[in-house]
Amino acid sequence: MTNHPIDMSTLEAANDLIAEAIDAAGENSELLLAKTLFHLAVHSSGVDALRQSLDVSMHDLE
Amino acid sequence: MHTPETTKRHSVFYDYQVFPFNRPPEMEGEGTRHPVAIVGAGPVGMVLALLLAKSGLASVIFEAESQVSEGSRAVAFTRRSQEILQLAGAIEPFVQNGLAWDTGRSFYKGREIYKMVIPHDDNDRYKPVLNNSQQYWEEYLYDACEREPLVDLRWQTKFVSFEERDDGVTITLDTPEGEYNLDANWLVASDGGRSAVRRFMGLRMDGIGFEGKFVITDFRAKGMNLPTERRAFFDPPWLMGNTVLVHRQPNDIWRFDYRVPDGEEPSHTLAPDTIAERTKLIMGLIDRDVEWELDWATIYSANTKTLDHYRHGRVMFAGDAAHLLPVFGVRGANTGLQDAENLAWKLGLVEGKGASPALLDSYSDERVMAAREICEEAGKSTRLMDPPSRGFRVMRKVVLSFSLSENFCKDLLNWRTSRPHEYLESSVNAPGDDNSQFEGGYPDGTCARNVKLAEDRYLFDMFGFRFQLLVFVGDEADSAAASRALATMRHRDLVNVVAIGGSFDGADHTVTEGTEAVRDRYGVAGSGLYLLRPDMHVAGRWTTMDLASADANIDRILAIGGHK
Repeated sequence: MTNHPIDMSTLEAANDLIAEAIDAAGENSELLLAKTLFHLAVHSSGVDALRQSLDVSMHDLE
Repeated sequence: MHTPETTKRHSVFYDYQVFPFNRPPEMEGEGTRHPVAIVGAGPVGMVLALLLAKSGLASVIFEAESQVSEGSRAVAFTRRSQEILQLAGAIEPFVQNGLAWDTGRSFYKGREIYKMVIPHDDNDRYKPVLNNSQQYWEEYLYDACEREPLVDLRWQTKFVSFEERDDGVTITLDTPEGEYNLDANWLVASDGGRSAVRRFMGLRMDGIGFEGKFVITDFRAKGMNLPTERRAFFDPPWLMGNTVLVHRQPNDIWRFDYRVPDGEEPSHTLAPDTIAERTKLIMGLIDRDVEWELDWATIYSANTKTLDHYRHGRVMFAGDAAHLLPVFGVRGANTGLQDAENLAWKLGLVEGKGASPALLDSYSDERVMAAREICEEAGKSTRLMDPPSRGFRVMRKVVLSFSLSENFCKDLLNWRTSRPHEYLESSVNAPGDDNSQFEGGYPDGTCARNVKLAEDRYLFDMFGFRFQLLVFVGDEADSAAASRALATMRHRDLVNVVAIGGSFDGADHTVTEGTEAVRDRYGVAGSGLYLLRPDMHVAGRWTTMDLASADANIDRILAIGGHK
């Protein structure tokens, strides 16, 4: 996937936002994940980008 | 009656010396008033005393113990710390005996997922990080203190209390032969994380105390045959969710540092059988099977805490007595040495040159801000080592997992090793100078960098623990102007004048080789001036031979906040 450098503050902000959202969602984090991806795909990234992200993220799940 | 342990501490590699208690003049009714009293003879206290001596100021250090540090503790000194030790006149044994390194490697599921190389420039005299055990750091500093007649180090002398007056403090100390009182103009607490001075004053630090506990085991093992690097192993199968760090020290000493499983009793963590079992497992991670002998083991927790103010009247705080920072990123002792350097030059001016005591408030302002920045950065590193919630534990696993196949988030594994804080808003910076007109170089408040002039000759070698005035000469008219201005400079005795690109009468040093490298690094093509504080941070810079403005800024610094 991408190899270009990403600003550290962007990485940290994304990391922290997701971590805090998982904490806020508690037991419902799986539902949060599905809603977030669905929303991102429809409103921001598109279905192809979603498919690519899912492919990459499917590795090393054990 | 204070009776410290006088039996030699155990170590498989370090031969402890027990330092005796010597009856001080105060116990014979012959005491004099001391300019500066320092509580704690750790690296921060001793470097402070050595730098005060470079400012011509005498100090007395009290150490409750009779021996140097128990265990290796702070093992890594940064380049900036090495530069401070050079200023303190103590660097030689550190470099001769330390192990230099610049690389950190991180592993996950048996694969290297991240390699961090700390930048090193040919212009730097010292390597990015130097490893040795704190016993040696303290021994070298003690030797330097012994050579320095302005430093009076008193072992087996425990701080009890103090009373503050308008013009100083009276300190009560306990010793194996009873208590005595000592008068000093200033008291500096550099007595560590459990500071007795801080507790006596009832001061509390604000910040975060992370829940996780970590264990350090130091041991001697020959035949490891591994380079000097910092290795981090995430989620080893027998310690899922946790991290193991491996550090090398001289004398075949190795440090394994890992997070203790939640809920484990300290007695179990430090039990010989537990340490033996885990050491064997870590040896497996680095593919080694050699004999080893334990030297020291301890449990610690990560904190990002600081006092709100480091100056309380006649009392100042420095190092761990002022702030508690996580070890990840080698921020503890290295931050403390920067405290010592900052405080030393200001105390030197206040006590020795009649500067306003309010200058010491800028020590507090600058270093509290530095500590808060470090707490913020270190907190992020610590969240990776010790995730504070389920969300952060999940994200730790996400980053590690992605790092097996993707590059985009690997930088989150970078600890961002300790670096000098930038005092961009400091009251010490010259108002109305030409800072904004420079392209490149070092802006006001930032820490200046070294320049290689020739083989084994560097710009910083010309510096002493004074203000540095770097005078970039553009033409002969500049030389004449600099010479005339120096002759009438009010604070000439406080300044080390370095001529660059030309020569003139009155300069202390003239750069004759590597001139273009200095110009390039400092962003001065023709005429210009840099006024550096004694701690090498930029106090002002000008695009002309305006030595009068540099002189006026020193005048202003001496009078910051009012008059003595």
